[in-house]
Amino acid sequence: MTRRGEALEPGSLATAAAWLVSALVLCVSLARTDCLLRHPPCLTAHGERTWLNWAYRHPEPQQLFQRIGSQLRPGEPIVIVAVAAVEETYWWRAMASYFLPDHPIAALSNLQLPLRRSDGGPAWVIVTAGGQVRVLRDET
Amino acid sequence: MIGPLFRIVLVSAAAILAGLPLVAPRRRPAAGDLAAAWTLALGNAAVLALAAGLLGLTLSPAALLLLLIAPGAAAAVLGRAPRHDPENGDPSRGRGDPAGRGGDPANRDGDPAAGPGAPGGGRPLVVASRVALGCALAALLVKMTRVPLWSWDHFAIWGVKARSMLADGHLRLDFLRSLYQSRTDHPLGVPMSWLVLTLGETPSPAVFKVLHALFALALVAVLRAAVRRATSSPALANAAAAFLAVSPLLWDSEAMGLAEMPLALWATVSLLLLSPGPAASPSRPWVLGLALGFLPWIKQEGLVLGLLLLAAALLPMLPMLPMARAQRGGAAAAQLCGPALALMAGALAIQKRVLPPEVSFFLGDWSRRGLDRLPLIIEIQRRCLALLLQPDWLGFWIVLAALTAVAVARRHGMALAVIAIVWIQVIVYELTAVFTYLPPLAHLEASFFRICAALVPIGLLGMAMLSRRPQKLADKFGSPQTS
Repeated sequence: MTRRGEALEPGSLATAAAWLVSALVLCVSLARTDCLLRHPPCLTAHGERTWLNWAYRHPEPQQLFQRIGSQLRPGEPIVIVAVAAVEETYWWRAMASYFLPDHPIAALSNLQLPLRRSDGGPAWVIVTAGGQVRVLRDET
Repeated sequence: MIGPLFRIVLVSAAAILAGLPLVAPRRRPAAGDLAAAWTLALGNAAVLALAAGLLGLTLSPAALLLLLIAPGAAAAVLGRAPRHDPENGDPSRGRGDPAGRGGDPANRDGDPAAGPGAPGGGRPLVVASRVALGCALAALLVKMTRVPLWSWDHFAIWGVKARSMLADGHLRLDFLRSLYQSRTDHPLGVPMSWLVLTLGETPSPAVFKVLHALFALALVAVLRAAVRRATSSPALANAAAAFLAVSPLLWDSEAMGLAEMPLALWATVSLLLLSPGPAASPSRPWVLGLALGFLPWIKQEGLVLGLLLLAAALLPMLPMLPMARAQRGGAAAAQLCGPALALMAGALAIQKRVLPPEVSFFLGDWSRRGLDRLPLIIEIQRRCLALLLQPDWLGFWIVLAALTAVAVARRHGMALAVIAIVWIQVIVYELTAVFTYLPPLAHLEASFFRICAALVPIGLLGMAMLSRRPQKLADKFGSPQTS
């Protein structure tokens, strides 16, 4: 007859735990990989469920800011004019600081037609709802 | 993309070579040693680069490479002491892994599951755990290629610093004042370690993803080595590493480009170094001190975590505790605490004196605020519990709570000490929400899940340690010795 202490031997518990964890990880990995290989991949982790759409509101921010950066002169200050730019100041400022660190943001303005830009001052970066970019500046 | 990748590979190779004299001198390193060496060398280089940059020195690629190599080269030169046999008289082993084949007569045939400390299950279990680890890592790599870099804190805090703090080889921190709604007082250790890896080149989002993958792989390797070192069980080590790979810390793409993973990596490296390692080359306390001291350079909560780990490292040096063994306690403690506390003080000094002042989390009368919020404690606790019981954790916190009770019942000192670090840190996070100026429930909702994820590897190690009898573990773990 096995004594109680022997039945709870740490080694046997560890063996059971290793089998269990390995099986669990295997099942989880296969299920998640299947999910990932779909189009579009399902992103269902806690942070992704909670924050992805909030933080990543433009589908391709890197490409958007690359398009903006390619039309700017080195170190040029900018005014960003976009849909709801004022309401989403934090998003535009954070992204612009990240992707365009050499371009100070002078102001943000909501995109309202017709555009009225006074002479002088920073370049206006106009971003349409579709992600098209146009830069207005004084010709020098 | 090829150019930056080549740089990262080159610097990583140099970091491993520079770190090996610190973590695995005079022996053949295992994978965990390589990852720990890489981590330690990067941390040292980041601290030196920040110090050099603040002194106005130019951080050219050559200078960054030099700062990366210098500490390891110094350790290699100074560490040419004759080999020490361990105090317990174990024979020397040929490999970096203490669970290796040489020292344990039962393991000489190379069967890693055959040792007395290893769980049963034999070869099939080892193979199954390896397959699980392989699948988990493969799924993780698939995910990293399919997911964009999207985390808000990456764009607003960590990534923007890495992209802006080095200009033409000069450290410039004036940009911090123009950042909008950022945390300008957060430490700069992680952005600087990323810049060391790219040799000062501004990382693109794709490069950040590569760096994140490297940190993830290093963390998996270090945890695997730490569990194997503590338990002598390769199957358990593989299983723990595999579980880590599917845990929210690695699986949730929110962590990409943030500092939680580096925090977990340096904490796990510290726990790996707490083990004396192979008999021929015991870990040196000052090396552990360097790893612990870097924690507050990563995140502010790294200070608390570093102090808790430091306390756990000092436990075996206290002669009144049953886990203590005959050791040169005073000298070892001094070698451990010296660099750890000096580095921690350095991190605090930079935060207070160099970085632009930020709205403190403890703005205003925080003690009064805490008292006012006492009625909310139950609601806060309920919310935290709900977050820790999310299915994403795969039951991690439930099992940890159950095994904490087992550790207490068995009086398993070292396992209990490691698990206690996790729970204390969780309580610190909860209390932070009570006392800070932010609305507590919203604060917890925003970050509690993510910051708790960094504690998973520590918890996994603590749970795995329960598979060893306390005395066997005390022999293997928690006794850094002087060399």
